[in-house]
Amino acid sequence: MTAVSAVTIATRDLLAWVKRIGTRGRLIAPTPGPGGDVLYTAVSSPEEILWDFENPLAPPKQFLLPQTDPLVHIRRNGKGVAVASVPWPGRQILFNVRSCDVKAFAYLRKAQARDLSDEGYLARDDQTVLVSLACTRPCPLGFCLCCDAGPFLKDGYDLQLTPLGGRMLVEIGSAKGGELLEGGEDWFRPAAPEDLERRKALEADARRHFGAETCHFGSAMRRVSTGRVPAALWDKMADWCLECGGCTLICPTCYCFSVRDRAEDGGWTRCRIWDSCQYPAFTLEASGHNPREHRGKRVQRRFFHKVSAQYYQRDGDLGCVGCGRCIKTCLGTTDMPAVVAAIRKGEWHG
Amino acid sequence: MPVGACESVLTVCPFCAAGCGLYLQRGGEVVHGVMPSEHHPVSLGRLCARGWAAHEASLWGHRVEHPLVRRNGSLQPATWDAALREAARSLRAVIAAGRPVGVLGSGRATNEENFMAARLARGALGTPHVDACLGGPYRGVLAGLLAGGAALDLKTALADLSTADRILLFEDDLARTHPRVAFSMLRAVHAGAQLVTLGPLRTQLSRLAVRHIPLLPGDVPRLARDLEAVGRRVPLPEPAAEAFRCLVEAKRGAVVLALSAPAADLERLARALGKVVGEARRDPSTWLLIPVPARANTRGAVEMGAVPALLPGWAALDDQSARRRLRASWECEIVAERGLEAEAMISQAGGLVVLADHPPAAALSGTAAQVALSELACLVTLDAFWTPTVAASQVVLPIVGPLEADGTFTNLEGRVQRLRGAVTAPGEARPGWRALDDLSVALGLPTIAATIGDVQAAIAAAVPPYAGAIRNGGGVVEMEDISREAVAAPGARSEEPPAAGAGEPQAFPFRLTRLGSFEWGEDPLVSGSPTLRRDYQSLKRRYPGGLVAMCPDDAKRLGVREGWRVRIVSRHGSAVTAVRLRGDVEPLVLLAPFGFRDHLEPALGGEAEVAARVEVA
Repeated sequence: MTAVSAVTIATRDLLAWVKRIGTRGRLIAPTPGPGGDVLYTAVSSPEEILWDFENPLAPPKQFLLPQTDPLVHIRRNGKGVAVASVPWPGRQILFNVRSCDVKAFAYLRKAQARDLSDEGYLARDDQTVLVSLACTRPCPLGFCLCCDAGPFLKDGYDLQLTPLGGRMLVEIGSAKGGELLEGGEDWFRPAAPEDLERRKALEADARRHFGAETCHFGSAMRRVSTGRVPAALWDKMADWCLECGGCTLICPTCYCFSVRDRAEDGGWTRCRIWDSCQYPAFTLEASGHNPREHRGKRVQRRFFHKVSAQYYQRDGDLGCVGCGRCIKTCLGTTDMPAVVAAIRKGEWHG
Repeated sequence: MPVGACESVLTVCPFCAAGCGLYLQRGGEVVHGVMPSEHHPVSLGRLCARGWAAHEASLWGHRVEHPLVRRNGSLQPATWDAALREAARSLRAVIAAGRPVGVLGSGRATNEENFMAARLARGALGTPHVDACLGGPYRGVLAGLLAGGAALDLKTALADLSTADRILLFEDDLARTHPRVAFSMLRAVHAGAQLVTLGPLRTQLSRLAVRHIPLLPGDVPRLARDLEAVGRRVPLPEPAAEAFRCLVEAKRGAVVLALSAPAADLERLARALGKVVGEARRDPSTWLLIPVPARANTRGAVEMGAVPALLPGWAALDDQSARRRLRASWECEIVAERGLEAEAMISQAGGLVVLADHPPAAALSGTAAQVALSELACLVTLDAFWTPTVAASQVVLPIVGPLEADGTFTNLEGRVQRLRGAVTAPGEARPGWRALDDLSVALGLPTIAATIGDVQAAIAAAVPPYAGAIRNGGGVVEMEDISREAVAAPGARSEEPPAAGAGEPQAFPFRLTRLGSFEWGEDPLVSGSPTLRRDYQSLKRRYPGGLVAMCPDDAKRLGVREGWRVRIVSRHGSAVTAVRLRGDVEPLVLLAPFGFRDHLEPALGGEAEVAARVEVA
């Protein structure tokens, strides 16, 4: 998917446009949270939306893949059972989503479409419009540059917004995105060449202002894929992991889950719930055997999935978009850049 | 059940004493998930596995939704009025029969609930028997540190711990029990701090330490005695010498006490450590002493008066001004005598009111505690979740759970933090503070709690240091550290036991001990969570006849393998159980994880540690 066209809208007209977008589905956008955090929330008024913010710690994946995700209702029906799917709320617009998260949604869609495809997830994805807000100022811990996931996107978005000062550049990446502009013809002007030049300059400037976090995935991939990371190194790293599972639960590309039935209304609701490959019981078998009982094996598994050539070839992408959330949320020190550096150098310093 | 969450409600994690901040993600009347709060001063965007599943017990757990009264041997639904009348009648009958009644507060309950539980005991029931499970060891450690002369300032303990250069950690397994505290320790070690660990296991943190010193409960009195001799006796024997070196060499040192041992022994050790630190320190800001309470509000329960030897606010029983404040706040006369501690209460009381707890999960013998509860003439339980304690009750009063409750918790640093209810509790559940007020009214006291604001005003009046926190609206509030003025409870001093195995090394070459002081797996917040309960439940299924952990070398020497059944013999008796091989267990040590302690109780004989031998069954 590539940008087919671009328009601009004056900043003074933005809120009116967003208000109109809100009539086309559930509008979800970054808002100021009660504890000083930025949170993606369903908004009722465009005034609530933040336009200048550091990417929220909580990724927007919960709006397609909730932590508790009711899938089907099950009821007794004579001697059998009746199963009915849980309806999805319908069309939703994820607004002002940062580039890395948009890239993550593309990764999730590929993951859910592969093999036995999850039609329910794909239907949700079809009903979701992604409006990206390009990162003119990279977040301090982000390394999306290393993952081809930002600070600006080449594709994967429905709309990409870039603030140009006094006006917003709107790049249209899909028909779904184009529909959001319909009815607002008076607000939009075709982007002028100088607008596109300005966008390029902003992107180039953003690329020069990344923080200290980097991830040299290439050499790590060679080592991981060819089994050149000693078991002792994984064990050493595992001593610095407190098994919180935060790296996986907060990762915008992770999708591991368990299934549980919840009794309610005389029947059951079968739910998909977030799980983590870093929890000891994730691979615990009914026999009591656990192939990944030791934490070192679990850390190894996680990073094999994230950066190995085998998965890269299958998925066409790394399992990391460089958002830096794992650095913020890791209760130990085994975040993505730290582990990738250890794999690359063959040593761990805590 | 609606799909997806639309709103986020900021609250506090209900598990350990660190007090991490998290958002409950609500969709309709259901909490679907949690997210860490990046700007919360304690957690700074991090949660442990328990925190990440904090919503699950309320969603999947077995809830108590209606008042229940036991009739003809089974619990039957009743109205609130009928249940309260029956509870009051039964408790009065026990008192009239001349038998003691008691009240157990809880580290799972809010400050407001614990405060009202203390009023129920010392005011409405006129009994001095009020305590909270797991409060005793925390009180002992705190009192010991203060009695030793240490300055104690915990207000920024977790942040300061990250900057320590020497850390002396007494632990069972801090990375498992209190991951947020362990995180600060990782940060400190990462920055170059030297960590010395002391405990019964070679834990994750001990592997990062410059030195690990095996320390079983039986070693604690000896270590305390040796540290008491600092300045009089040279050279110090190990491990006291290592501990002393760590204490005096530090420029910015920290002692973290998170070890399970008899409360009196921990108090003595804390006193000795406090004395050494008090004498060695040159600048009060260079030392950090951190007692680690077990549960989210263990500290708050103590400070709210769910304690047998103190009044709310760490006030001594004979503190006349505290008594006056309390009488005015509670609007009743108070009993200011020393009462029974939790474990004694369970075995000696005729009637018991239990608030938001399952006491057998923390008792030395879970089975004996459960039997004692079932034999009580009157057991009244207030809980949001179904537990074996609820099942054994005569009267059950449903109260709101952690996702539904408004109130405050006090974390290990003394931060008074606000819990915000995100959803409505199921059925007829009431806030715990209201249910306790209702029960006090049924017992003849006036009501003092029409709203939670009334309870908080009463707390502010009775415990002045809490006034600021509560006036502030109970956001994330740092409170003056009232424990500094604590009055040490004159606890009974245990005689120093002989080291296990002394005098009989051939007959009993092993040291058998229980590990830990609490089994999270039996707590409804864990057992109700599909994600959290898996480990403990699978272990229970795998070892239905119990287990004893030993190191592989010992097993090899004995000729036993994983899963084999062995007989553990001590001077108290013997127990047959399965062997679990663990590389983190010291040689010649047999460990009974707390959840499996009952299987080994015939050999342990109620002691924390005993000499034993292993026979292949």
